[in-house]
Parts: sequence; C-alpha cells; structure tokens
Amino acid sequence: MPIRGFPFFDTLDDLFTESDTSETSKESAHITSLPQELVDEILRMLSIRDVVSMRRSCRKLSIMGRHNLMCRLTVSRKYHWTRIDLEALLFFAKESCRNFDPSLRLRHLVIEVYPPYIDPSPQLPTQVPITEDELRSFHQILNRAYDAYPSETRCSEDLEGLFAEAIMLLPDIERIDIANPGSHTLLSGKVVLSHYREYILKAFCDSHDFGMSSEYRHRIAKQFLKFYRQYDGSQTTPDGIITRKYQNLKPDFASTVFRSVLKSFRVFKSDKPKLTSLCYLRTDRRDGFIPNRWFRNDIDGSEYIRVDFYQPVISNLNNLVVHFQRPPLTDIFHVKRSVERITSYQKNVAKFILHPRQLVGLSIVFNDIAWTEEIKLSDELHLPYVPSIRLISLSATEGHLLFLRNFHLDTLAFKSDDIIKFLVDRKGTLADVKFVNCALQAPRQSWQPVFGALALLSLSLFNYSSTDARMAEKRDERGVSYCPTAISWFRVEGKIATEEHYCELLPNGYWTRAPEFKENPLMQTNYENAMKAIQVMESVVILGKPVQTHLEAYVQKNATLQHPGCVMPYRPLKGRWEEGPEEYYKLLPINPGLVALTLIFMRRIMAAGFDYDDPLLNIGRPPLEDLDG
Amino acid sequence: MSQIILLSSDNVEMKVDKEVAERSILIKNMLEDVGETPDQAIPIPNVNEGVLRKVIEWCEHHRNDPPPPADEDSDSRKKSTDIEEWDQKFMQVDQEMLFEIILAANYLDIKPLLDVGCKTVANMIKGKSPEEIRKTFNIQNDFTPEEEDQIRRENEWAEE
Repeated sequence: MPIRGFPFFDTLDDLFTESDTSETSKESAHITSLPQELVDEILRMLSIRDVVSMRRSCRKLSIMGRHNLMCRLTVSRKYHWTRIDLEALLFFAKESCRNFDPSLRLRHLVIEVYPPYIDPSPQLPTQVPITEDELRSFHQILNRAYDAYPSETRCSEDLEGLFAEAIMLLPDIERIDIANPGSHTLLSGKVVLSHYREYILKAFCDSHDFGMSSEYRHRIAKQFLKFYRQYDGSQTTPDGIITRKYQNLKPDFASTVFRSVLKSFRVFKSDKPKLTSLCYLRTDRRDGFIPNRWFRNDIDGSEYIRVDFYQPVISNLNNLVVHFQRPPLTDIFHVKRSVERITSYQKNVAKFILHPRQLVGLSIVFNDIAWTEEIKLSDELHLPYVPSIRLISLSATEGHLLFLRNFHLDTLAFKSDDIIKFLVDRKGTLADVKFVNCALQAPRQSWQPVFGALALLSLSLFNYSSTDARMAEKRDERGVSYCPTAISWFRVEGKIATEEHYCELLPNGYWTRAPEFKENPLMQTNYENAMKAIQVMESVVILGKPVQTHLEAYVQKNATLQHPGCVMPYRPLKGRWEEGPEEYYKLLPINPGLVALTLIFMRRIMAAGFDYDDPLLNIGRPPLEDLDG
Repeated sequence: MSQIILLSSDNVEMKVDKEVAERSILIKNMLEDVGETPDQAIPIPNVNEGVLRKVIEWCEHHRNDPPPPADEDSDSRKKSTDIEEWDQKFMQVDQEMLFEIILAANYLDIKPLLDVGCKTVANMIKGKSPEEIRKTFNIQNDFTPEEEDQIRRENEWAEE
C-alpha cells in the first residue's frame, strides 16, 4: 500500500508531474543543485542499478532520477520466455494502456529464451572450482540440473497467448528482439558457461558489464571449455569437432518460442504499423562471449532449423533469414520428428513470406538438407510471388544444382522461368532492390557455368550484388572432398568493387564475414583468385560459346577481358593456381552437357526480355526516402 | 596570436588566446557575431575567477583536440566513463569546484569538459550504496524510514 503523501510512488501517472527543480541552492554548487539536464547527463552514464541507488539517497535526487529510470525501464524492456515474465509483460502492457507520455511508452522489447533452469541456480559450489575434483563435481551438478529440467514446450501455447495479448496492448512498439542461445548444443555449453561466468565475475569482482578485454575473455573461456569438454563426456576430434554433448537434449525450446512470436507477429503487425523489426539474435552475436565456432551447429543435429530476423542494412524494413539444416542422422526417430518440425517451420515461413506487406528482405540458406527436401522446401516458399521483397539473399547447395540437372532442360527452364520472370517483371521497378547476394555452393567443379550464369544474372540486374562460391575444406559423409576456397564479390554503383569497397562495405553489415577478410589469408588469396575467375567466367557467359573453347582461347592468347563477369574461385587442387593458368585449366574438366544447358538457360533469360548485351545495365539507386518509406 | 579578455563574475579580467577561448561554443559564437576580436572584456557573469581559471586551464590543455563528434547520442559517449589521465588529475578538486566546473562547462557550452565532469561524478556514484552516495556527496537522508523502505521495495524489481 503506497504511503499517502509520499511524492513518487502513488501511481504511475505521478511520473509525469513535472518535478520542481528550481529551488536549487544558490549558496554552493552541490549535486542536488545541478539542473535537471545535467543530472540527466550524469544518469545516462550510470547503470540502472546505480540510478536506483542514487534515487534512494534523498528525495531530490529521487525526483530527478525518476524520468531517466522510467525511460530506461519502459522504453526498452527485457523478459524471459517464462510464465512469470510474460505475465509481468502483460501487466506492464495493461499499465501502459493508460494515457502515458508517449516518450515513456515501450518501443523496444527483448524476449530472452534462455530456459528457466538457468535462472534458479542449482546448488552450485560456493567457490570457484579449481581442482579437478571440484570441476567434476561442478559438471555433475549441472548435468543433473539439465537432465531434470522438464520440457518447456508443453506450456508454450499458454505463453504464446500471454505474449500475444501483451503485444496487442503495446501500440508504440517498434522492435522486438528474440535472444536465443541458438541450439541445444550451444545451450548446453551456454548453461555451463553462464554459471562459469558467475564464477569469473566473483573471482574478478567485476561488474555485470564484464569489462575484460576480448582476448582475455577468450582465453578464460577456452580454458574453461577445455575443462568442460573433459567432464561432460564431449571429445574433440583432431579436426576440432566436438563429438558429443549432453545425451538427453530437450526439444527445441527456442524454435518453439520463435514460432509463437512469429505467429503473433503476423497477427498484430497489421494493427501495429510502428513495428518494423522482429529480430532473432543469436547469443554469439550479442555478446561475443561464446563464438559459435566453438560449438558446431550440427554437432548433434539439434539445430536442424533456424529462422533469423535481422536488419543489417536498411532500417524500417523487415528482413528474414531462413536457415534450414539437416536433421541428425543418428537416430531414426529423431530424424522423423525433425523432418516434421522442418515441414512445420517451412509452412510458417511460407505464410510469413507471403504476407504482402511484411517481408522486404529475404535470405535463405540450406545446410546439409537433402536435395529432395530442399526442393520441396523452396518450392513451397513461393518466392517469385512476393511483391514486397526488396533484399534477396539466396544460398543454394548441391541439392539445388542437382535439382536443375535432374529435371533436365525443360524442367529446368520451366522452373527457372518463374525466377527469371520474377526478376524481369521487376526490371521496371528494380530501383526497389538494393542488394542481392547469390551464394552458390557445390562440391563439383563441373557446375561452374551454372554458377556463372546465375551470378551474372544477379550482378547485371542489381546495383548492389555479390556472388559467393565457397567450399569447405572437409569431406562430407560420402567422402567427397570439398575444395578450399571462398570469395565474396561485390559490385558497387554499377562498377566492379575494389578491395577498398570490400573493406568499406563489409564491416557495414553487407557481409557478416567481413572481419575475416583482412585477417584471413585464405580470403585474400581468394580475392585474387576471384579476379582471375571473373575473367574466365566472363568468357563463358558473355561470348556464349562452350566453356572449354574459350578457356583454351584465353590460355593461348592470354587475353584480357574488358567486362567484369562473375565468380568462380575454384581450385581443383590446392596450390595449382601458383603453377599458372595452363595447369589450372588442364585440371578443369568441362562438362559439355552442362555448358550447353547453361547457354540455353541464358538464352531463356534473353528471350524473357533481359538486355543481355549490356551486362553493366545501369539501374539507378532508389531514393532513400523510398527505401525508408 | 590574437588574445581576448574574459571578465569573471567577480570582475577579474583574464587574457586568453582566442583559439583557447573558442573551445567554448558560447564565446566562439559571440566572437563570430561581433565579427572581429573585441578590445573590451567579454563578461562571463555566471563563472567566478577560480572556476574560470580552471576552465581556461582545461581549454589550454585541450586547445588542439579535434572537435567532438557530431553524433552526440552515440552509445560510446553515453556509456563510457573512461577519463583520460590528465583530465582525471584535473578533476581532482573539491566537490564544490567540480560542480562549479560542470555548471560553467554547461553555461559556456564546452561539451568535452562537461562530459569529463559528468563522468567524474558518475564514477563517484558507480557501485555505491545509497548510504555511500550520501556520504560521498554529503547528502542528508530526508526520507522517513517508511518512505525509505517503500522506495527500496519499489525499486527492488529494477535492481535484479
């Protein structure tokens, strides 16, 4: 019960009563004599906890810190995907329905989907585990807590209802972030690491900001991971792959949450025009504490699908990244269940994509999905029929290419016509499209011409585009060796991107692997290779003759091609580039059938009205206001 | 190098290089309005001699600093409370002087100095309990015990 006459806490409406700060002491300067604007300057450098402490020191500072605190607590709020938190959100939303100052309305909502078992700390030892026995005991406790935790999925529908109800009551919400540990593989490590972080904090008496250098954190984390793997049963293979994690993985908690939010999003978006961003944040992107490379996504197959929302380039747009990943092959029942879930997700994603007013950016990535499944999934996404899409990023794996081959020319043409028609139909309004990324991946070099054709198409149609053909230096389960190469190639304002462009564009969100570019020698080598490959592919596509002929001609004449083409940093054997192009071309087996297919494919493009003679088709940049609108 | 004269609130004149004085946006704008270096002293009515000397000392030291970034709301500026070593020493003054400097920096529109002052105060608050804050700033606890308990409970949820 509020105390009558107490000036601050009777009602929330009281927040908007202007505080009287005019009675500042004129005798001497003191913190309480500072004007509100200067107190606000100080407050914004403090954490919420410090602001609260300051408010608790005296009445005057309590008044002066009130607006700052309420802004920080209301404009952006964070909740866990738990009943207690979502009920709190609903309560907050109902309170917010009152006639508050718009500056204090919730605009940014963060939903954290860490399973609740992280919150109630299990009975952990009070001291930082140091000895091996202590570490073993520590892991055993965590393992038991993990195994004992019930599936959250069962009550997800109730939580979904709570969330939807709350969202409907928040008229000014602009952005929702779903913060997710990523997968259970990651999660199991996350659980341990989150606890270990507590220990680190204790050990170093540090703040919640965890103010250590990244190198130091990495060193600490690596050291801990070493212990962690030692005691949780995981093993690291010579390839650096962790082979085992917790045996009893829980159902994909985060995916369930995302599905719920996605569902609510589609419903309330129509009534909430201010909502422009639904982001799905992976843990490793948020704090960098657990780089994903330490936990392979597919280690146990639990992360069979991932759907990301993010806004990397253009504000006020809705971008979607769909990530399909192969279910585990170790357990037949698990596979069946995973496939069902993929299908379910795919339907949700398709519904979302088809919503005409929502989706502007789209990226689809397939990882290790069976090509038959890939075809099915992509078919049902109805990509060519989404008029609102402005940003496209496509990734195709072997499955797509096999798909093209197996359906032979007619079927390929039929299928491709949809895409071509979509692109060409949009030619008149291509100003809408700012950036296109075609990521093409295949283990067989004989597919190069198809890469080239598709990549050139995208490069020619869009001002901002890239191609990316990459291989992983590894063997798949069939023993097929992938070639070690990777490039990104951009075109800026209708001209070939220089290395400076890379450096300028990549860190600005155009490509997530940007930081690696300068540091990774492989990337730099590939850039050089790409420049060579571009010339090769130019001869393939522009001249329209069989690949082999032109490659041979190129070698004989050492011709320099004027027009930029596209892609194909593709080295059959490592180191052969250094031996000269002749050696390279000898190693490049040409598949005449495929070349013919590619050329027919390109003729289809031309027949559809594409101005093929002008590969540097100049399509002006869209006005910014149009993009933002 | 041309100099100008500043007149403190307690009528003390101080000669400073124009370039140094122009760290103050207020003075810079005034000089631009006048169009030429004035012969007469420029009155700074809200700042006494001691504080004005400190402010000038800061401006002297930072005369060659690049202008502050245009994006005033950048996160780094908001959140970081790191202070350069020289500035830390410069701010090792009694609290009255510290707040006078902040007020003067605000009045004279010297944002980097204002930042340093506010960061200094923020660092004095960080991690302290309400009681420690009271001691640090010599604040009298004017809450009744009931009010104190009430405000503590009201803010518990924000302290997680």
